[in-house]
Amino acid sequence: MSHYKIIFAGPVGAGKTTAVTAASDIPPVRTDAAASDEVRELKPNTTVAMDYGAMKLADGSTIHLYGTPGQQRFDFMWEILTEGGIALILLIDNSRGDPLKELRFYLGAFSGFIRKTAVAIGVTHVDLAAAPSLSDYQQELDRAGFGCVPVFEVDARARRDVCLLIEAVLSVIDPVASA
Amino acid sequence: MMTAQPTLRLCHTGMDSRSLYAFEIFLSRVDSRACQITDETAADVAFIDIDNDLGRYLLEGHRLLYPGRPLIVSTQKAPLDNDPLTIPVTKPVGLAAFSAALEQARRLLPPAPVVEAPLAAADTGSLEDADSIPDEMPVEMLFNRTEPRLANADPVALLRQLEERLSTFYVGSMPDVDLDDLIARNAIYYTPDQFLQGEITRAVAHAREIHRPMRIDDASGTALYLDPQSGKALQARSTNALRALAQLPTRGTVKMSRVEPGDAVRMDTLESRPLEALEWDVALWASRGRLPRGTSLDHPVRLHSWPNLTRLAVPPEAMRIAGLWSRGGYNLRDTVSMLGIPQRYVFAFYSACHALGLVELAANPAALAAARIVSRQVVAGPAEAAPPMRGLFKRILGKLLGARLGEAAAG
Repeated sequence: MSHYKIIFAGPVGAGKTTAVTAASDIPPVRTDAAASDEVRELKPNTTVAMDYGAMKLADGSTIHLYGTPGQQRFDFMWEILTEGGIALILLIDNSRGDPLKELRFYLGAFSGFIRKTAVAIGVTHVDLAAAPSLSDYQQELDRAGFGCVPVFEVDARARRDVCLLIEAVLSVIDPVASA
Repeated sequence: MMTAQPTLRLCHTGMDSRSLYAFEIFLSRVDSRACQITDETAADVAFIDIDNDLGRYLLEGHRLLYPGRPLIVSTQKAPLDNDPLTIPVTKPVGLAAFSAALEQARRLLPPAPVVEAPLAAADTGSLEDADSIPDEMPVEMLFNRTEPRLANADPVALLRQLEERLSTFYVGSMPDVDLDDLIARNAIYYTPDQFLQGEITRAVAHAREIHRPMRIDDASGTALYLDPQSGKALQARSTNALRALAQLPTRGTVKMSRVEPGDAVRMDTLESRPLEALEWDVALWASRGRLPRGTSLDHPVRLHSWPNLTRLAVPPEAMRIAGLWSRGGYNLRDTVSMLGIPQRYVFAFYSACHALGLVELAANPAALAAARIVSRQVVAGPAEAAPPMRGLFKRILGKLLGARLGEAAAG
């Protein structure tokens, strides 16, 4: 049976754990710990190693969904988790801090992986902050040399939204063979 | 001729071959004057078994396709949602319960002749009337109906069929034409200015100029309020009615005017939606699988940005088309042949993207030359995609489509 790996990355509170949970067919595995630093102001618990979920396909294959820890002090996990991955879903919280700066940071941090695979951007919490717009994100991607990338407004709790992001990133990887 | 007890035309879906066999035996015990099996488009009532992986999607998909049709639903876990047109029967379904459900369905039908009506007009009196635009392709060909047992055997195929049927709202049913035949090719073009799409474009531009919302009226009154400053639209018609208005040339029956203070009361009663989503829908409805007149088939398409497909209607194969165009260098003609999909899918998606300003055609010779090289490479053999990825999308499609159709229907 084939196994594939899709990585969910992004800053603390962007919705990675929620998105993995929404798309997973199995109860997700979480490595939460009580937040002890500035993260505590955002949420009581945070991912310290990874989140794990899986989509089971009819032929027995599995798509493994890995959520990376958002805190940069756990960035050593990012490289470990992307090993063997086929695509990156980058979630950015539109309501906190400077979302485009976060986008730049994560594009840079995962640039090697993205160049070898593909990326789709999910912008969360747009209901709380409408700006920057999706076209602002695309312009930032253009500036960073990534070209036209799927950028969708996403509610990380909605399985449909998360599945559409996955569908989009798979379409980028190989649209012709998708038939 | 009206009869006292017209025979109900019943279609069924969701049963595996074993259940279907049992159902056919069961039906043979039901009074033959009570119901007869027919195909989906001609049915008065549908019988859906929802106790399987696809049950919920089939139910919701059927409801989307036939909003006015009574549905008899067999399940082990009644009761269902309180949809007044859905009649649950708990398994094991007995003769008396089924007959009672048929009677209940009969009472829900509009008071029109049932038996004597020709099949093509089966939905007379239902909500689908608003969509009654002549299709360019016979319905039988469009739906590519497969024998129900076979369809049931492949859940992905079933979902594909469901998606294709739902998609006719957005991509029409125009068959492929010979793109090298200049006369036949004329059929693939439409003029957005002649449709509600053009009227909305003009109204939005004018609203931006005068910094005030605009209103669009037709003979029946106000249809839309448009406010580009807030990025919102207010829809004063049902979606079915708006679609009917958008699909045909307006021929001067629609006019725009400024929103006046007197409109405020009415506007307060309407729900808003993103203007972008309205423009997207209206472009798809007007296009019905055609291109804006003057669009070149041979110039490479440049996708500036992806449409926000989590918040817009997703026409069939939109993801793959966008995935291809985001690589750059592919023209419309090659997009159709490379993806192996109907022309109308590609043309409708292009038209909608064009309406939102997300695409353009590269016109300079260098880009054209580059596109030709890319096209030749692709035609010679699909690109350098990593072999393990081949077919992954197809295998995951059922899951993704299920999530998409299910939640779209629920929403």
